[in-house]
Amino acid sequence: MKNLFHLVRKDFVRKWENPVVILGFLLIPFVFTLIFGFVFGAEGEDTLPRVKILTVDKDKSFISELVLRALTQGDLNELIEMEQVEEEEGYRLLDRGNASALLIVPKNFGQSVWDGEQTELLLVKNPSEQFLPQIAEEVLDTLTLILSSLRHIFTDELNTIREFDELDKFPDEAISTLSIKVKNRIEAVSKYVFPPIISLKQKTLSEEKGEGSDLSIYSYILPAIAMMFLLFICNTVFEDILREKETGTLTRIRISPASMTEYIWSKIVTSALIGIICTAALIILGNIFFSISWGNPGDVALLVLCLNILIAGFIAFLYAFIRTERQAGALLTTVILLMSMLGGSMIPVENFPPVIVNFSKLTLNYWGITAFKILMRGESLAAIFPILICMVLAGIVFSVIGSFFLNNNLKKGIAQ
Amino acid sequence: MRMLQIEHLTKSFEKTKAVDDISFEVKVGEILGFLGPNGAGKTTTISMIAGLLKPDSGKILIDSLDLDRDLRKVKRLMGVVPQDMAFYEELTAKENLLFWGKLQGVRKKDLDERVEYYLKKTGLLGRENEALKKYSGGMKRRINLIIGLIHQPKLLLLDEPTIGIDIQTKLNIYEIIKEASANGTTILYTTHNLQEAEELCDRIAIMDLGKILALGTFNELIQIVGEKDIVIITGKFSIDQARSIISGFEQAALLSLEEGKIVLSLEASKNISILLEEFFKKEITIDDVSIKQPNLESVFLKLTGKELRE
Amino acid sequence: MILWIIALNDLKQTFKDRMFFFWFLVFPLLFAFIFGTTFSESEDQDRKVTLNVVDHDRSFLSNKFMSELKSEKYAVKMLDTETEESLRTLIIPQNFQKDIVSGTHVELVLEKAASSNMEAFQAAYSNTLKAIIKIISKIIIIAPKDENDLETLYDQKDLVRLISLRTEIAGSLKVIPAGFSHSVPAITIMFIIFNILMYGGILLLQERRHGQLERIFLSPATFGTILGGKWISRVILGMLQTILLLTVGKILFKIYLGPSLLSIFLVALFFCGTISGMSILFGSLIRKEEIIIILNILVANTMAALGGCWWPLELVPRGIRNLGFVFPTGWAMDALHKLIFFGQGFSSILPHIGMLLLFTLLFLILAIRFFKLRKY
Repeated sequence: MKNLFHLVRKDFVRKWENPVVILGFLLIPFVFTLIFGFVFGAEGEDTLPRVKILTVDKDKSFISELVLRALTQGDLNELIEMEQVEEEEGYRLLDRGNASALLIVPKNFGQSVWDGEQTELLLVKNPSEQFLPQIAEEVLDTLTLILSSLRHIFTDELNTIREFDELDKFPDEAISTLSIKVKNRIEAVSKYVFPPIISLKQKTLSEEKGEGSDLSIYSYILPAIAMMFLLFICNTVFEDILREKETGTLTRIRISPASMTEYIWSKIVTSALIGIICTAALIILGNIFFSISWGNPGDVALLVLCLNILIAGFIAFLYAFIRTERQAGALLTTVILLMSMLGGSMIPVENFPPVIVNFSKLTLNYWGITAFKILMRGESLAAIFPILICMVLAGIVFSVIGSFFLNNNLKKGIAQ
Repeated sequence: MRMLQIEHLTKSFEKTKAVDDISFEVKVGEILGFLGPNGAGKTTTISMIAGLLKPDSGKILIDSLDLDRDLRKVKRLMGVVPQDMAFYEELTAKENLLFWGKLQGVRKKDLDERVEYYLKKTGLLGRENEALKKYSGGMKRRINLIIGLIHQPKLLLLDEPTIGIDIQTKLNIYEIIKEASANGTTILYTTHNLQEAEELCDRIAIMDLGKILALGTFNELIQIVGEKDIVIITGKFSIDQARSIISGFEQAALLSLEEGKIVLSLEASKNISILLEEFFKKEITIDDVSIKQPNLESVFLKLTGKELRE
Repeated sequence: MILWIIALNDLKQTFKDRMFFFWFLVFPLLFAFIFGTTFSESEDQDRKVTLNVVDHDRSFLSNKFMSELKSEKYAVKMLDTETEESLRTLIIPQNFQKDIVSGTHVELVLEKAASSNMEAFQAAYSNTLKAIIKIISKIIIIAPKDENDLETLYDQKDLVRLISLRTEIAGSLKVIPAGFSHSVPAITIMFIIFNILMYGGILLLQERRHGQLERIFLSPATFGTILGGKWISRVILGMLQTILLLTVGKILFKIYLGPSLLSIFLVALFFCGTISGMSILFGSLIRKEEIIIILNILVANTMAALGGCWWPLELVPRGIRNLGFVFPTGWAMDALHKLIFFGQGFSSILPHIGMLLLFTLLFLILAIRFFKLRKY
């Protein structure tokens, strides 16, 4: 045990003397989180930019103006930024990517609506944008549906007015009857529309479990990216083994009373301890700079401990297959990046097709990120307790297996 | 009293016998030098004694302890100074010494005293808090040495500890080694430097192709070539021509012969002129003649037929 | 000639590292595959968004409502109960028909599983909303007195869509490139930065440290030749990356590259020129490999993120979008968008080429300033 302590202490002092790499790996998740927050704002996906729609009114009728004005009313005004242009200019601006879509109201649009004939609006979409033109399309499709429905609802009344218009006669009695009809119709519409008789409520299933408020974008990003770089940080400790092989200090240790088992476990312990310190630093910095609320401090501390036991053990296990620095670079980097990609450190797992999510669940990143999110949502330790147990058990198993094979490899390697 | 006992040690790597049935003993406080060309088996022997390699057969006893059975106990008695600078460059000299000392089980009080002592001895006191990466090559070699000594081992294995350093550092290192030997540390010292071996070592083992060809004090080894001078003649002659001259010359003992170069042992003062005349009679052009006192190089040459740095 | 000797030597050194091929080919393709697969739902226009429905009412009106949900784009599946396996579930409550006929408010719930794709969910929401509008419109028109009345009158009134929306895509394309066609060019840009900065920078640093650069300076090669050779080797590296990724992207993922392949390669060439200058600057300034790696990760990813390689720039505020043009990535991505998605020609990207050239000159001038022989 004493030797283990000396070895751990020695590695700590060495890392302290040369902390550049570890600090660098700590800085990266921090910077990435800053970028995400800067770009998307702390609220994240709730603040999509307004969809810029250029509008061309070839009809310039009362109805066409009404339609276009509808796009700037109420909530739609927060969603859509409208700009009226001439057709040629509209196409030019769209080609330059200055708008998400161009809406063209054709000539005689108003007349067609008036006459109850089928007509259409043309929406030209910006092909370099995937999402905003789609939003524009959905909004406008819904709007035209409403207009179409209204046309149907007020068919009788509008037909009556048309008749008067064609005959150019507006008898008072008829107008009076019409007014009553329109009023009744509006009342009927109001009964079903104000408020809508059928409403649609969105619900994300996690809300049902009462897990608390939505997380900020920082809360999503920082743990996710931090998981990836914790793996790299842990790797720097184990990379040392290969370096010590080259420099001869490993041979010296081998000749000393310290056993190889003590040496390997010193790496596992050092790696876990450094991982814990780095995770703690990220948690504190995340709280200070991004106001991330990580959850109950005691629960978070336990998670940090278990997670780093798992990471250290896993990396030790991987090093059982490695003999040279080159192999380390190849295998470790590949595994860490793959796990990070699949496990949610680069793209949220929610975006993956279900078949890929099954692979995600095999990664350390997935479970680390999931556990952090659960605690951030205000849930108790009980919610992540099974995960923690699995982390510790897996970490121990990985450590034992890794230590066994690494021991054999090192003995062979030094002799050669 | 014996500190190290090697009995019929053998080690092969695939078809090559790296160490071929060697046996020797080293007394307490003795400095045994290992001389031999690359591939002679020196490093393999040292590795087996250090416990890094398991011999195919044979026994290694260190202070009467069987290395195989009592490895852990033996490790406490042993110190190593490898050829490569085996320490942590990011740490300071003091940090390195403290770490290695603790690992060897030296108590704190003793360790602090020894660290100070050795730093003073090597002239590094005052610079102990600098990272080793800032040290010069000579300074690093000194630290490399005292790391191996910090726990006052009974047996010290040194692998070319003075490679590539200035004379001042070399002398300092010799001084420390001699002091350690005087204090009872038994030392195994591998080197290519014949002068160093002559100066430092109580006995020298000459090794080649896995075997110990000769083992003894400097004077004992010299007897192999006798007290005659070593004469080296270089010129334009073939092996057959030289052989025909020497075969008729009883006063000379042939040490090595190659195209254009012959090494002989003979009493130069009496016989050199006669020998040279034989060459001249055959109209052989002589480029150079050198006469030396018998030394390890000549012993080595006689035993192996090669020069040391091949 | 010496310039090419230096350039080819640098390339040879880079290719000797086996990990290089992982970063050069394997990882970028993996990245592209995952990004492309994740965001590809909109690419295949024949694929329908599935909406699962749990109908607790099982009435005439709820069946009609479900019919309205089904369309070209949306597939509707009936479920008996709410299960966790459903990504998107619409729940029609009991007494749906009865309450509507009587004028009582009804609330439908659209549930989203945590693993549901956001885009698909929004599409399902929008579709449900439209179905609601159609149902409400029908109810208003037929104004049923009771449920029997509803069932009798419902199908008598057919509400033809009078005002519809036709969509087209600007430019010469018929289909909006999505998925891989978006991700492969973006990832190519990102990995050009990553690989040139890493391998180009580290190689130069190692040459300084091991004395090889000193030796080169002692040769007859002039300063310009040496710098030029190193710069060209990195440009070639970047171009090889481009050709490889776009070719493999074309073959494996059938990505669309627009009508002007030559223009794409010109953009890539000037972009590689910029990044090569940057890599020489890094290799000249920085003394440790680890710092180059860390700086590389930071710089490459920041430029990639803000330049539009990570996410569609349409999703970010306009100010941030404009910030992307502070970096060469912003110009390169914008040029590629014009070429690929709008099908525009070379003249449309002349300003972009100009800017990339300016960036190249800037980094080369800085590199010249620091590309001196310094010992480590």
